[in-house]
Amino acid sequence: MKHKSWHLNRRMAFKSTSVCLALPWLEGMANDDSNSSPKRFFAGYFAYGVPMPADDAADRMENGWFPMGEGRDYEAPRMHQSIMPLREKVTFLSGLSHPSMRRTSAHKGADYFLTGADILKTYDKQSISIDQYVAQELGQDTRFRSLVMSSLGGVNRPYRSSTLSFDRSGRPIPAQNKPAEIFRRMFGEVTQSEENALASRGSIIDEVLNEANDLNLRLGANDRRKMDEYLNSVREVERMTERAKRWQNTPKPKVARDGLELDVNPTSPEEYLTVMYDLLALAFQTDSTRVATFQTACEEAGPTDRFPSAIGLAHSSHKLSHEKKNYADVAKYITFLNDMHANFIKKLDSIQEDDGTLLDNTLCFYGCATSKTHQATNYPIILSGGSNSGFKHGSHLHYGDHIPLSNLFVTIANQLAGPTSQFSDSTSDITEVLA
Amino acid sequence: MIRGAASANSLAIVHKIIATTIVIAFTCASPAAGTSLADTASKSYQTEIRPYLAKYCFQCHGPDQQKADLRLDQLDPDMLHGSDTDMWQEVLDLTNVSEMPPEEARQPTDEERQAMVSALTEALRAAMQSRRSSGGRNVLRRMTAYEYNNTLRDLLDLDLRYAIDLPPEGVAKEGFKNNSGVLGTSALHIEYFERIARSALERIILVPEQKPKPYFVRVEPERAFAETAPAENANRRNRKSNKSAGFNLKKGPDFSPGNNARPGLFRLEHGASSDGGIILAGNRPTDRVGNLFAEDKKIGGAKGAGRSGWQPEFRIELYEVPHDSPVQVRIRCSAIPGAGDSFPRLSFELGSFRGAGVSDQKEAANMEIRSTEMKTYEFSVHGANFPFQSNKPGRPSYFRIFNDYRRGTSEIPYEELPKLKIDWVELTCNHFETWPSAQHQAILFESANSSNELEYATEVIGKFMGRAYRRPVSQSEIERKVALFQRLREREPSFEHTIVSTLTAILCSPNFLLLNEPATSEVADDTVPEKRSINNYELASRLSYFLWSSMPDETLFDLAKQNLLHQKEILVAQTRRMLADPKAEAFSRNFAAQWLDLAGIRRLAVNPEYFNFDERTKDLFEEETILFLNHVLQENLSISNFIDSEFMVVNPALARHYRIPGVSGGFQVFAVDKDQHRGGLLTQASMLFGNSTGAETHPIKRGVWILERMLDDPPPPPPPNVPDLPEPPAEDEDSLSLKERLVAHANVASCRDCHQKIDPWGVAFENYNALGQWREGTRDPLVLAPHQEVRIDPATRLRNGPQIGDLDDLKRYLLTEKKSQFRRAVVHKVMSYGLGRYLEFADRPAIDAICESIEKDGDRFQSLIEQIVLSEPFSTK
Repeated sequence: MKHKSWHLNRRMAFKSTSVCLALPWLEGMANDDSNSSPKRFFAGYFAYGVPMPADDAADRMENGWFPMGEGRDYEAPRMHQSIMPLREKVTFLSGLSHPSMRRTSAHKGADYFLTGADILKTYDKQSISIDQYVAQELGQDTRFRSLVMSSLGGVNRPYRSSTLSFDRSGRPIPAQNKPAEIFRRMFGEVTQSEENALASRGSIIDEVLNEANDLNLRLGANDRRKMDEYLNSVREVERMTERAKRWQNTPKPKVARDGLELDVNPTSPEEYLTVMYDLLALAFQTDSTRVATFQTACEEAGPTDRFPSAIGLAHSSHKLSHEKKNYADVAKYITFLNDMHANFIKKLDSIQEDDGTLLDNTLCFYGCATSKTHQATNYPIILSGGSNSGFKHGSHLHYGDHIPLSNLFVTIANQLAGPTSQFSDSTSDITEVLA
Repeated sequence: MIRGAASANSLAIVHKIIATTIVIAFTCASPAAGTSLADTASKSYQTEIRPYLAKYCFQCHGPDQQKADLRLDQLDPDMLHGSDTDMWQEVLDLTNVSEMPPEEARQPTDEERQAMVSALTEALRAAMQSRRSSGGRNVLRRMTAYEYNNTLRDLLDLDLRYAIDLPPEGVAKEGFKNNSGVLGTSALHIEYFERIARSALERIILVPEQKPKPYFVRVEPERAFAETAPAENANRRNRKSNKSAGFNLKKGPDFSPGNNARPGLFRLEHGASSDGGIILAGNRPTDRVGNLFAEDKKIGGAKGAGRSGWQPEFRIELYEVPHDSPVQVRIRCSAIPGAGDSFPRLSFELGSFRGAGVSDQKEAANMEIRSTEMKTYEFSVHGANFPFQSNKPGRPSYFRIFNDYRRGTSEIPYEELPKLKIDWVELTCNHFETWPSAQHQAILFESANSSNELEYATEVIGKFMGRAYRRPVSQSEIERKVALFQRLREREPSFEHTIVSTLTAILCSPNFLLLNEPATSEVADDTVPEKRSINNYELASRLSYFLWSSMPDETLFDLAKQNLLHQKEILVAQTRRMLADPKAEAFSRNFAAQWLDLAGIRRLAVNPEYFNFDERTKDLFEEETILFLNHVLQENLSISNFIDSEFMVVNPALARHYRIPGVSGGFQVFAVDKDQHRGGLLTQASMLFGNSTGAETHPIKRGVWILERMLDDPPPPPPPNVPDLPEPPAEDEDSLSLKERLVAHANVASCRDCHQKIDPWGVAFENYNALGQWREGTRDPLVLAPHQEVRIDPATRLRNGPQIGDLDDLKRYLLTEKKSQFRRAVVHKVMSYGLGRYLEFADRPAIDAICESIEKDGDRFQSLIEQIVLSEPFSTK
């Protein structure tokens, strides 16, 4: 897999900003002469699986997640109606899962959804997530290597992760969950103080690292293990600083805050998810980053478990997911989430770039690590966009229960990052999603 | 391989819920003192595990056959050091859920299976504990977000909300956030640490030479309302009446920001005016007396979930609150005492309207006013502490002033409520006592060297560094930072800017951010230094982060400097002094929240089909428990009060929730009548609601909570694949109560063992509904129809224990036969929190000694803390 020339093409051009009316107004993007748009990757996650009425059930199309029929002639259940206008840019996948975790008691989905690691017994084998893997390539030429978001924020705890992203050592990367802070980091005007800070940061980090190394010499083995974490973090900040310096003379994209409700939090799910997805679209649109993850909910009791209240349902999303007779409510809830996701995908598709829409340059991977209730197989997955990176859509692809999801990650890595023969426990790749 | 997971039923839910709360047991049940855990494990392998495997498994997974490529007779029995631990876990799981041996093979009896499962569980548990082990030694850790916040507050002498943008903290298996194991540090953390430190330092150091002009607004309410105020009784007739008016505030000479289009507003809601002031009671004149448990109605005030609109108040709404400077609030008022010598409580909050009718606020003061003479009370708040400052049109910031003495569940008529008479209120923005500010002068102090940049910088850095690192710093450490200063000085615009950057480096240093106790000389790779006594400064930090969640104060530093802190009498005296300090509230707050999992209150939603519930009550659930624990601490009472007490700490709103009559005022300690069924932590809504479903009770969660939190005997987590029960016929399912379904679940052989251990503990709480309200008989009138029919039956038998009639029986049992286990559990929890790590086998002797000592001393809470402070683990590294 060969790299295209977009490497040096830091910024994309906006041919038309009028298309994205729903977005806050943008201006003044530098437009350098390039003829190919960047490749991007988005991974999204929702919690607790999907409703699966039996194929012969009366409410199969009304309340089910999985399409009926395979290939191009599939029929999409009602909960996907909002994304169906983009049918030719969307693929439904069924059957795939991560083999090592098929026996899990579930609820751990976010921990391994993007890593495919075997963390059934211990966390020792946690490994890099696919987004961070492709970010090694796609993250080089943007102000931010990647954008990691979740509704709960932070990392929470092993087996109840509140982040989808894990670094090369398998350490969780804390997710951001405050719209105002995400906005500030990406688009906030750089103050005099911040400019000053950046100029001094290199020296400060050098000094802090030296001091840490000195301290390290006087620590026992147990302490050093903890200290490593600190040292690695400071080194990462050092890299971020170098990157920030390269970007210093490129003004941050100007994005007006007015259209964005940045003060909302997950207690108002609709507003919250909307602004988070808007920020994602903006991050891509302004080429602030090319890799992003968003864990819409944590599989843990808490504010995100109460999302269904947004549409007037009394039960928590966890409780809804256990419904096994009357799927109407859970379907209503998943429809709500699907709508939010579809709005995001449509928004990407409404933004024109040189060679297609933003969606055509962004592969979006969206799903959950359980199908029905706690069944950790047959993940419900929607793949969309990325046609300029070789992806082809318009079908429902069904795979046998034994096929590792990581096979798809191999294909994604190949198309977006570079030659990759193996990801986690992959056994092959999945070419049916390619043109 | 997936067995029945496709049709998981509500019992599986139950399991998942437990799975989220249960922790892997840390302390083994009770291996005889002196035997190591590994020995115990190896013995049980010989006596329990291997014979079982030989009987039921080796035939297919042994020398002759290796089905699934699995040969069990050669698995390494050393689960601690061997390489087969994962495989052992697999064996356990499959045995646990009766998947192995397969149906066609010879089956073990239930008893055999259970014995094997227990033995293997214990062995694996011991192995896990050992692998996690640091040998009972403290490991360095990062400050938690709240410790970071408090440390900056004390270091800079400026009380701001520093940590709000830091990523949320994880939680250790026992619930503690300060556990070294879970305190990760990421690049995002470092980014924020730098940003927070820099902006705090800039705020203090980079200030104009000229003192910003103070500007004030002053409200004299009676003048504003002299003409418009209706008579008191008119107000009473018209329930909606709401004295409210826009009012041009009297502005000080330098009220410069003035946005005339958006003047400040003064609103009075339900207050009465009188000569020389306005009068605020805790209730509106129109609130009905005698309707003890009815909720007040929200009238006026901000819409949404805010605290405004429930009682008389007045608000000063301003668009011009300074973001970045102190505000002095002066309130001239007097008390009009009420019935039974009660006094009003002057309270005010800072808040901002957030749009959509939602407001956020922060309580800034709450004090009893006893003087019947007019007096002026002064408070200081900081503009930066206003939640959500937008200053957008329609979203002003506000000061809300009210009287927090509520009628509550008493029948005090409006006339006899204690009232607050307010003459005037004055807000002075940019209020600096001195200029530059005291905080500025503490860092950039007067010095004979101040004309020589380098010498002055050396002094400034040296002084700041010592406090930041919480220990004396060496000359070479200072020199390095001075060298950094010099490098930075070349490009920074001023001396002050350079100081900001240099001090920022100090606040990003591992010596500031990490609570570390390094050896005095280099340590060889992969070795752990000999255990040693920590030095005086390290001890000072351990004390202060334990009791204050913050850095040591000057007194501790002084004692450390004099090398006195290790002396027993001094250590005890300091512990007492620290516990008496208001900063000790951090202990009550953080320890209670983490030990008792108060976060559970927020995780859970109240099901609106079951209860009309006011979300604000959740704050009170939390507050009750924290204040209760704080009371036990401050009064140095016995820890047995945690199980049962003759007092409770409630306020009127909680009294209404619990249906306790006669409670008025604010949060206070009240004696409990027997028929109120309250006492101890066990009957508090924080526990009862936090361990419910939000609609119904949840005996398993409650049982697990008792075992985990009160007895430190957590049940093992459920196996990964919870087996499904045979589905009950569809028409029956709804008729089964949760409790009955639990019983059914516990009847499955593979579940029974654990659930017999858990469930009875929770069943004893059946007299308390999901919100922790008392119920008996067959109907719970506090639940909404049609869910009122319940069969309440708290009777149960504890496994290997007595028959229990109700919660009182259970409490008695806990305080007699389980007393020493409970004592030990509390010691364990406090100690684990105090040390910031899991406790281990090596800590046992210390725990034993503490238990013995406090038992003789009436189990008093402060004694317990003192003994921990004096224990060997607390003063060694």
